[in-house]
Amino acid sequence: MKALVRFGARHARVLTCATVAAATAALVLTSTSTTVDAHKAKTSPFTYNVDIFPLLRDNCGRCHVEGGPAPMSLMTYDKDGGAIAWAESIREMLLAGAMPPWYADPTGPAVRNNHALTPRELDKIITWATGGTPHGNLSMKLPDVKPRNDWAGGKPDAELPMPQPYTVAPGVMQASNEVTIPTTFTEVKWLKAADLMPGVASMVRRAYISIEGGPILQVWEPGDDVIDPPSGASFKLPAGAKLHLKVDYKKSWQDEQKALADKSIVGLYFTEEPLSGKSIESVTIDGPKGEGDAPAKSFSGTLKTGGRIVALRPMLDSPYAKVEVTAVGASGRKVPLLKLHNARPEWPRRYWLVDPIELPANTKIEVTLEPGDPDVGPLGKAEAFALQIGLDVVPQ
Amino acid sequence: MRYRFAGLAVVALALMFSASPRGAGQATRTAAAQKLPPLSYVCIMPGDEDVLEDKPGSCPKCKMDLVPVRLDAKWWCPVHQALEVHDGPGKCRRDGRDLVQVTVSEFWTCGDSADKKLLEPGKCADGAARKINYELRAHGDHNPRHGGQFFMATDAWHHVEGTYPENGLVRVFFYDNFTKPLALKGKAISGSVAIRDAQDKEIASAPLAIGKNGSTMEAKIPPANAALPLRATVKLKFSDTIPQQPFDFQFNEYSKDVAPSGAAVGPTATPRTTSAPAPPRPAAAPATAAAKPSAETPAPAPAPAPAATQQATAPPQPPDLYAGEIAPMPPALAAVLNEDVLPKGVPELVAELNTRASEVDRLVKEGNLSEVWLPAMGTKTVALVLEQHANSLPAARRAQVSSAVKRVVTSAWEIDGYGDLGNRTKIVEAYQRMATAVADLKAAYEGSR
Repeated sequence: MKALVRFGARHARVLTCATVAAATAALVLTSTSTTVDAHKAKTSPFTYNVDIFPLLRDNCGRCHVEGGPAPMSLMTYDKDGGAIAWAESIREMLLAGAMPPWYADPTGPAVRNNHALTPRELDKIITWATGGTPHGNLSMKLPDVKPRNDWAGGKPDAELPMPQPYTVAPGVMQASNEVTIPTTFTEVKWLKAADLMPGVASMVRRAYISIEGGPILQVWEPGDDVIDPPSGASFKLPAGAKLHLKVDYKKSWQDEQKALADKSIVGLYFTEEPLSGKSIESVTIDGPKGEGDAPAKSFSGTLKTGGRIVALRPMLDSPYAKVEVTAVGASGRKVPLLKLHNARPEWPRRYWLVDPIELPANTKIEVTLEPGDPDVGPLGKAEAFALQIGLDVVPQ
Repeated sequence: MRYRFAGLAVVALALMFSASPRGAGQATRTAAAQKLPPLSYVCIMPGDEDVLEDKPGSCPKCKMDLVPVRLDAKWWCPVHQALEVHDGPGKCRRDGRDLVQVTVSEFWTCGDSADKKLLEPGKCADGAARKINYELRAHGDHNPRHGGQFFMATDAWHHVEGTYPENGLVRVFFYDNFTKPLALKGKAISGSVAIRDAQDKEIASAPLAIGKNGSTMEAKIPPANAALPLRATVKLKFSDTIPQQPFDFQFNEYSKDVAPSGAAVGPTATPRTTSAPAPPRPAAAPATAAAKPSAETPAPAPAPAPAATQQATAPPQPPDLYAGEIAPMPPALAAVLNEDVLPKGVPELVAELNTRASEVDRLVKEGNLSEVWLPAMGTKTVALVLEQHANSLPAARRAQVSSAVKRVVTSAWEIDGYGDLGNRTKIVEAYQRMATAVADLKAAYEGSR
């Protein structure tokens, strides 16, 4: 019989061959009987080969693949562990809403490139993880999934490598490195996107690419798509400008005793100058500081210059069940800008709005927060960043 | 008579058996020579995993052919399980959690046919060594033995059954992960019983002390608080390293100590040894591997592996233990997962959703935590079907539906999981999330928001 019974395993009440044979016609929502047959391991009608692998590949496979940035591969059934060894973790993460790390709430303003699972997909995977993780049709040959090693948005117009490799020493699990990368362009360039090609994909955990003294070009997470800003907005890169790159490294446990040297490459995608001639600018609304360990409930700030909000970049200091960013006009009218649910701090990202929102100068930006579970299964205690909401604005 | 085994103790005893002259057959002796755990014979029928014999034969409960396995005691990571198997206690290398003790079956595989489970180590056809694998064998039986309510601790090793056999006496039975009574002597288990009023406020508390038979703990409830229905939270600390865990019981009547039909009560020790091999049974029809049963039609019982029919004296043939087939779904679960019997119209579906969700509420209020998972599963079934009707709605309402259905799904699975653990507080929280999601779903379809 297949499968590891999950810990937190199913209750198995009296269930015999005879009762199964005799009771197939029982279609009653039983409630008070004390001999209800319980579901238990190996009851999932969904199997890895047929139902679960395609979902894991399409929704998790950019990171959870052998050699990818996440240490656990879900792209095989049981090779070197494989998906079945992580079934209980998968279940925990899906129930907590911590994975996939895409926290935009569908009931809030629409954001681009939504990566959320549908309810049916979610249920299928949890059913499989809870119900004995059956393998399925063994005659099916599943494709070999490899980590992506090309540019997600095609070959960039310019590739700017880190000047020096950065080495994370043996025994060091986490590190962070900031470098300045000079550009050699003699004229102004307009950028629609920046991307990162990690040198050591299994160790580059996230990156921030910005123009020194200018806007943030990219909050990069492994597996990210390259997304063009809405309605032709773009970033202005002055002649001779320097890029600032901050890379956070995190080794997997297998690499703990290895020295790994990373030399990541920043890729730039050029575009035309926008009609307005105005660049996307980055502003931040900072959260409260030094108020003890209790997570913040709300904070606010003011948008000094009016403009078109094209994206938001929340950075969180702990997990939140809910994050709502709202613009409050002079009349008191409220316009929702972003809504997140079950948001973990470890995957900060930029949420591009489908429909940019025009706001006048001095609009109040209100942030309300509802604390979440700080300790979710294998994630353990959350990484913390300074609480802030970044806004990307094309000024009026 | 049926025999059940006691995790580690039995594995140890079974190991002794394998070396004794009474050991059963060639296969076992071969195993002993290689210091392998002996072959044991188990029933693969869900619910019958507690059957353990030392000879081939048929399951005394369901008559299916028994299947040979090699059982051993190991320690592994609570999350990663077979990815990291150790011989003794310690920390998981991957996430630092304490290793947990488990009873596993060991088998070997070759790279090109990883699903063929072999019962001996050795070489593969390509000359490579066979790879050892471990599979958990536990939690086959969570049936109360003494007319009480049965829950599992978060360490997935300890299991408890709370009973209220007579006025003023709460008795807790302890089991391991094979539902084998645990001897408590020498173990650092401590705890108390808190009595709750109808509003769930704790109004009295009594310490638990080890009972006369050594595998129960008992608490004397003050007469003023002992009336039925008794709402009792048993708070147990299993060791210094595990936080105290509450188990929420509600006794609406006194527990009657009657074991489920056919179930043995009380400690038993070892696999059965019989003087003659069990007569071979005709092989059942071969299993259709990985046949995918529909949710509404329970699949036929898995067919046994051919090797299970071998006589004990036959030379050991590596049996193909792969059972890609999926176990029959319990009829009550199949019923609540059946989408075909649901009404077709949205208002009727919304009504059905409410009915099923309030069934969860009713069971929680009755304190029937071990059965609350069933209507929870039923509620999510209706919610998933309702989602299919969302295409006709405007985008904003579709988003509301998607959000609400997801919350119904996750809260249903949470209720399912916490029901195993008997954690009323967590179930109530999950039910509140479910109730909110159900209300949101209703509102999205009725457009009242």
